[in-house]
Amino acid sequence: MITDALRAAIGAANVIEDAAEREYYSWDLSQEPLQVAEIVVRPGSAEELAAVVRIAHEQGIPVVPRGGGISYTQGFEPSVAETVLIDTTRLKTIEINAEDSVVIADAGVTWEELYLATSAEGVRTPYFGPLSGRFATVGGTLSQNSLFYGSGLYGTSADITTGLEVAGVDGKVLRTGSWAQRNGSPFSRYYGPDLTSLFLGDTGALGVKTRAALKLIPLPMANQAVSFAYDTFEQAYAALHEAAKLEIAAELFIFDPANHAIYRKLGFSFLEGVEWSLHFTVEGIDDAIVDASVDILRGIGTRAGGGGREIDPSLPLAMRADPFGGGLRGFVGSEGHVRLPVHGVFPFSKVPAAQRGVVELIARNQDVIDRLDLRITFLTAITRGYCVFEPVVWWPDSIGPYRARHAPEDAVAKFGSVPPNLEARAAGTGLRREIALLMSSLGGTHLQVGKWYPYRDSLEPATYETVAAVKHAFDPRRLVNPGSLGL
Amino acid sequence: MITDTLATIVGAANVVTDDAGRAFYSNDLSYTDVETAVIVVAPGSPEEVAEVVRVANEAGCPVVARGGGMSYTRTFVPTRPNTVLLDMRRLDKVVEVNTDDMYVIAEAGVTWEQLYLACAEHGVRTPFWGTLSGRYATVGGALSNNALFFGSTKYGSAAESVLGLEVVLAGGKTIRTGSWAHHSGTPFTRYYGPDLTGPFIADTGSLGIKTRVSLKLVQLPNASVGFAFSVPTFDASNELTLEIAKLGIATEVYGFDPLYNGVFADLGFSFLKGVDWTVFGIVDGANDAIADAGAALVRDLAARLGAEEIDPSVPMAVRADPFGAVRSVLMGPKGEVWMPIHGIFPKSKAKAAADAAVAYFDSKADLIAKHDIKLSLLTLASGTDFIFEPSFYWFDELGAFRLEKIEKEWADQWKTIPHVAETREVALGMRKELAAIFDELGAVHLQIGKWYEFQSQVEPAYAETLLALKRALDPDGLINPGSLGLA
Repeated sequence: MITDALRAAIGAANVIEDAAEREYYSWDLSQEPLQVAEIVVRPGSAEELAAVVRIAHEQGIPVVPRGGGISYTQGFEPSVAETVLIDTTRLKTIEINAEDSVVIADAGVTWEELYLATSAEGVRTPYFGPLSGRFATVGGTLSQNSLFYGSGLYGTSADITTGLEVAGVDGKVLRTGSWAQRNGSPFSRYYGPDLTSLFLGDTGALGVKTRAALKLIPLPMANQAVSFAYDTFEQAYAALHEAAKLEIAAELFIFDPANHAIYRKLGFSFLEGVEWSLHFTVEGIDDAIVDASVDILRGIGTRAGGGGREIDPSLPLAMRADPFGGGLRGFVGSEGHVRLPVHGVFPFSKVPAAQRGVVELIARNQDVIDRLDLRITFLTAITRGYCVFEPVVWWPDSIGPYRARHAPEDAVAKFGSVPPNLEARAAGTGLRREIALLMSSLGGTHLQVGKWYPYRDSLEPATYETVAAVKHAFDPRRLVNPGSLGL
Repeated sequence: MITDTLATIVGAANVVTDDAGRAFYSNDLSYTDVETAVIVVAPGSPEEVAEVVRVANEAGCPVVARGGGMSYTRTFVPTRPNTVLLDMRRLDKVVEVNTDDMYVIAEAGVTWEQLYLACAEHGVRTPFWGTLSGRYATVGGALSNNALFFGSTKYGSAAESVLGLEVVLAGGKTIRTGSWAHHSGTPFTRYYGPDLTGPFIADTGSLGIKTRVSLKLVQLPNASVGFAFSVPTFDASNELTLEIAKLGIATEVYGFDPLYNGVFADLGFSFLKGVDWTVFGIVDGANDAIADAGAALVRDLAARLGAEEIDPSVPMAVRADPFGAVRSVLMGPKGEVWMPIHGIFPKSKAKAAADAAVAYFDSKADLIAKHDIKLSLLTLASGTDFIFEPSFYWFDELGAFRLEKIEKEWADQWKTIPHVAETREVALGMRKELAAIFDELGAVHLQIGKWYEFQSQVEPAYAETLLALKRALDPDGLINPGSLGLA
């Protein structure tokens, strides 16, 4: 029996068979559940995790790795019931090497834990986490790719990775980059062909990450923010585009009127009367550099797009003051809506067309949206060199097992027993999918492909065949997160 | 005959079949034995490359791509007599400089100098923007081997500036990677699902033949400030170089040794007379205030570490004519051949690496003196990594390639220098021994080719995974066999 072997390998307490628990671990936030895993395991170390993979492989049972659980794209939802779901969140070791500017983190370390541990030693990863960094883990994020804090200067989680440790299907542990050198350490990604890359953004399809090496930079000594208001998205975006090309801001993003309404209620009263707002966070190793950069951004913000009005920058400053606190509000709206983001990754020039397309798509569905109380907000954010356009679709619905456990207590008390609203859910998930297809038709790509975004259909066949050939070479029996990436 | 078919594909004028011509193209700068290619073809387009590969592979002939020819590690030298060598330099089009979306698409045979000039016209450049040999080194060759210098301290190696590749695989199938593989996409990001770009970078041409590449663009700086310091010892030079690199604000930081400072003193930089160890570099900025503030931080740091500030005209001169120093990267000041070897180390191993090299040279002092071999110890920071490149100089037969690349007046003077077998053997033997010493210390390498030990230096799991990938992409082993030790 596999259960016995798993219990022997990682301890009986870490092999979960309870039905409700398995449901909690198996379903993400998408409101589109797939299967419930037959067994959930919680290994306590990279070695235990490798043992789990080996045992499952010997029995021919698929494994699926799960990080913090905040996927919106069925990343870790099992595609078959006979699955061993691996909760990686007990893998918590962090080794900081400030001398060599690298940190080795276990897959289950959250971005908040990593930020706190590194900043205590005066260093930080260049990209330092998504808004959901209180939950999102290093392993989950590298499998799905993500951006936000520091991304304007340093890119996504993929850009800061110098090496990976991966448990292959046979339980063999692969290390990549300079980590694979027999006397080496994981300071450089490039030593012969870059195999790290294959496992970044693979949504866990090619192997189970156990540890990751990430770059470190000195903690910035100076931080400022500057914000502007515009009448239209196009105006705000013109300024964002010009500023993004300079790569001098750490975070750059646009909020929409609907988001302003939410933030006004939270006390950001200066957003009263603001239609579209543009925000920059600037960081640096001394004040002179930061001041000079802010001056440049102020020049752009007040001139580009017909000229914006400078407003109180306390929104980006508040985010920086509590970088991973704000993400919690995203779980459940104040009126009990679930919120589901859907994004397209675009070259700068294509964002205005994508935004117009989505606005038109919404207009065509306005009757249903009004009738079922759906809402849509927009976040537009920059990562070094390109843009992520992210509409968020909201609808009233039951909150599901993940939100019930992790949303703020008052929200759970209020909305935890709301019954499923299947009509709104069908409309919401349908609208979300239509937006995804629209963005893909415009050339948009995606982070967090999971089992949800139209990856296979959007790729040139020759490239997809190559991805499939790599999958086959690494996982011939398709036992690692089957169904991910359409594989 | 396959040669006739190939001539039909690329045009008879673009085929070399005579003995001297085939030997010229089959040799690199490493003074090692090679097989001579059966034919050298110079395709004029990506389509012609694909057709050449298809025809050659169908006939069971291996294919090897050659860029500018500046390899010291047998990268493109054939290992089998029926090899079809592709001279890639006719793929010389800069296809698109996109300043809205900040990428440039170039064919593989474009040189770094050509690329830099084409981009600079539009006010942009690539983050890594070339090697000192960039007058001849091609984009495709540099990405296959990986490369360092201009831009490397801030932006890393050539690999880190890549957004996407177009690659011809064994059999002639063409794939594109990253967002370029999206059916409606452009090459603006490397990350869309598993990053297939990575394995083809630094593969030394073993997994496919690059035909076009997309590189990231950044704005040309509006201000550049040079800095230069004199330090008493090699260790002090390395410490200062790597501490400056950690600030994250210098675009290049590199160290000269007494030999190089002497050469530059003779070239007219008379302030270097009698100066032993120096650290040079550049801080770029979006405006004067930013560049000046950055340079001030560098100076403060240098002063704290006890370095003496000197005239910054060396780094400024290097920047003023970035690709003009071809002769000095090919040979020593008196017509000696130059033979580099490098190791890449994390900061914590810089001192051990420096000590080991110096101790090794001390142990060989008699042999070095007997054969009049000169040594230099050049250093560079790539990101925060220590790039250590000791070089050997000795008098030897220069050969057709070097003589073609240097000015006629020098070629005439130096073309009669004879080959002294014992001297060459001693120098090449020392080069190999030093590489082994570096590997023992955990070094990694660019430009692995067929010269650096690789299979024996990586962990078995890595070697097995790489072999599985090679088999998946090139089942019959017909793409640059022998590269990376892959048959």
